[in-house]
Amino acid sequence: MTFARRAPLVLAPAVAGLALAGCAWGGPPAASATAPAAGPALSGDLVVFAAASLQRTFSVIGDELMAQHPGLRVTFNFGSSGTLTQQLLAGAPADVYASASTRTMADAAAVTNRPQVVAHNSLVIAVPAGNPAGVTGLADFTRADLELALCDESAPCGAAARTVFARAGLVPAPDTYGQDATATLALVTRDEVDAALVYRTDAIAAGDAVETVPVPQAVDVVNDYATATTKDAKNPAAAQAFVDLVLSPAGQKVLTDAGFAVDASTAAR
Amino acid sequence: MRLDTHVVVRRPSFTLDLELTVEPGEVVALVGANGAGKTTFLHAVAGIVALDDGHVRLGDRVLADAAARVDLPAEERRCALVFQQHLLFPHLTAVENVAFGLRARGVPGRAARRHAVEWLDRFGVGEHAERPAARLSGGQAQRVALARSIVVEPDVLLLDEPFAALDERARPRVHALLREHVFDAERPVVLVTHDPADSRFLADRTVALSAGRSTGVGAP
Amino acid sequence: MTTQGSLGTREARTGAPGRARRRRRTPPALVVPAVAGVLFLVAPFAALVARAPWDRLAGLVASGPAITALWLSLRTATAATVLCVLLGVPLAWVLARTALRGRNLLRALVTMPLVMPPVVGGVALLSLLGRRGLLGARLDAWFGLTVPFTTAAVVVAEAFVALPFLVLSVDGTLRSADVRYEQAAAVLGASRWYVFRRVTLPMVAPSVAAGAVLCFARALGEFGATITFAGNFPGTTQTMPLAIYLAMERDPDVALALSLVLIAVSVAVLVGLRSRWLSALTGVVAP
Repeated sequence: MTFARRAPLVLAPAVAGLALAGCAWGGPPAASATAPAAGPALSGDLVVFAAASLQRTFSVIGDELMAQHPGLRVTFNFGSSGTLTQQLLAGAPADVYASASTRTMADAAAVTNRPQVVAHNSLVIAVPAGNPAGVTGLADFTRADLELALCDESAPCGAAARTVFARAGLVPAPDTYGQDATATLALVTRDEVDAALVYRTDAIAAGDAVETVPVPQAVDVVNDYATATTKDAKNPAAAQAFVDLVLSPAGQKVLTDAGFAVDASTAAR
Repeated sequence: MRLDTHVVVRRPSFTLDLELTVEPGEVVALVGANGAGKTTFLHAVAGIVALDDGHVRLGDRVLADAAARVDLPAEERRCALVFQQHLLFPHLTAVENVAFGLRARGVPGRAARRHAVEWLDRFGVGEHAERPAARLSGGQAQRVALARSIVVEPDVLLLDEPFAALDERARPRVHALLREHVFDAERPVVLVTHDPADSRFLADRTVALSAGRSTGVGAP
Repeated sequence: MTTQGSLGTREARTGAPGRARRRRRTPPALVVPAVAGVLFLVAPFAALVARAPWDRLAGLVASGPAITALWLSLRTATAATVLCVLLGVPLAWVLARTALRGRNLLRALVTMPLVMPPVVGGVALLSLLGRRGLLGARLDAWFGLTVPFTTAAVVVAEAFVALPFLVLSVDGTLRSADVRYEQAAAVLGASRWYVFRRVTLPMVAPSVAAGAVLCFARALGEFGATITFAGNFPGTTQTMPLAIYLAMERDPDVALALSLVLIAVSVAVLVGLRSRWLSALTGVVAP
């Protein structure tokens, strides 16, 4: 988990991500669909708890909100959705919660307002650059001679992975379970494992350090990312503004540029 | 055998420079105030303290020679050193302490034990053989320490205030023990003591030490 | 007159006839912080015990994953402790008994795992033994051997963070121990190795035991280096602390139950050897 004003970004994906995001807001006025700074200027602090896989995209969205409202300071706590839910239930102060699955969001129902689905993510196989072990598909995850990683089932990406393997009728033989999506991908970028099943967005963000192998069996297994303001938000106006920005066409574009899938209805709004 | 020494050890406050020769069977008492260097001398002969200059020869063996860069480790010198604080190994019993030197030299356990018990009996502490060393009285411990050093049949005997822990009544007994069982015609003995009675009763010759130098030799 | 009166009263109060019994009264300035300190340490555990799901405890604890994690933790902590003793006692001896130059630097290096966060230890171990590590890359290329994700990696991670406890405990005792016993043994004809085996070791045995207990407790609770270097897989690398951490994300009740078990085991170990632990830490050689 990282408390970060601006999430620490690996250099290459950061440049890519920021450039993409810049396109969303730096383009010609006609194409720009920035959500106008609605109402009075927001100020104070805004605390956002978000799933680890939202780190890059939400940091960009947070920066945009701060640009629109100079008096506002947005801080993030990125981590595994399961952990974040437990933290919120234990009373951790937050204004917005964005989880990587509707289940973890539902677990936090006691402290959140009505959630909305903001994006979808699917799983791909990530391999170190060059694919040294020659991984071609899901079946390779049953091989004992490879070093393999999956997300732990307590994290949404792990739950999704379990569904994918169940549907494919395969029993995977991982060597380790990463505690969240980010940690699992890090194992691939560091070449500690030959392959891991990770979010498509994380694999894209890792840039050249990682190659992806598509998983046809995972197409139907998507994680629904839900976002909600919290009931005890200290800055409810800013919280709502953040959620609105995520759901705005510009915010949705940031997400799709990173590899998330969004509902057409939301994007068209 | 003959103990031929010229011990030079440089200490912060003084330099010990003593030439001492002890004939086979002779008992030399080394007397002097505290801090005069008496213990340092014994330690140098035993090999615990290195010589800055001089030599230590025992019989025809050279134990240490500063000029020739010879410095035998203590375990090879076949000296016996009885410390002022007896230094019995606290985790062993009396008999295990006495047997220690024998067993360290490879004598099998049972034979070592037998010898140890013999000497403990001779010194009058046989009944305490199985007692942990830490639970012996001062006098008992000192006698066990003497036994421990003697049992390995050393070539030279170095005694550092061995009677300090004994009460007045026990002293003559231990004096007698030493003369009867320990002192013989071959083994040179250096006895460090405060008490003129010890040197009178046991020593053939007395050497006085002051600030590292000999200040007089005489009959006790 | 007044003094005598008050003395007399005190005597009468404490009921010690004839003798003025001096009662030590702790200054309030010490009592208050002391009580606060005790509460600070004890209250969270008391709360944990109070909140634990006692009715479901047996079921939760007896479950497969919990038993697996506990068994793995006990095995790896024991192996790590053995490794620490084998490496740490000679190391402590070198630190305390030799005149090696740079001993103080060595002592500081040995203490490092104590002061740095365990996760840093994990990162360091990966840099050495990971698949792209300094040594690990060669191990993988020449022998096809990878260290991460194995139980051996867990033992290495635990030993890495626990070794300083043993070394410092034994080093301290050796330094304050009387070298004259070793000298006496040498004069009696014992070789250096014999002296080490028969005199030095037995005399520092209590401190080795104390260090080993601390080692074991530290290894049992190790998390950061383990999860970073060894990974997380039930039965192979998922130790109790890891299982508790992950359980917190899924089912906090399970986490509470497992925490109770781990606390019970740790307390049992520490209490079981408490007297030796205390006496060795205060440097007293047990007779």
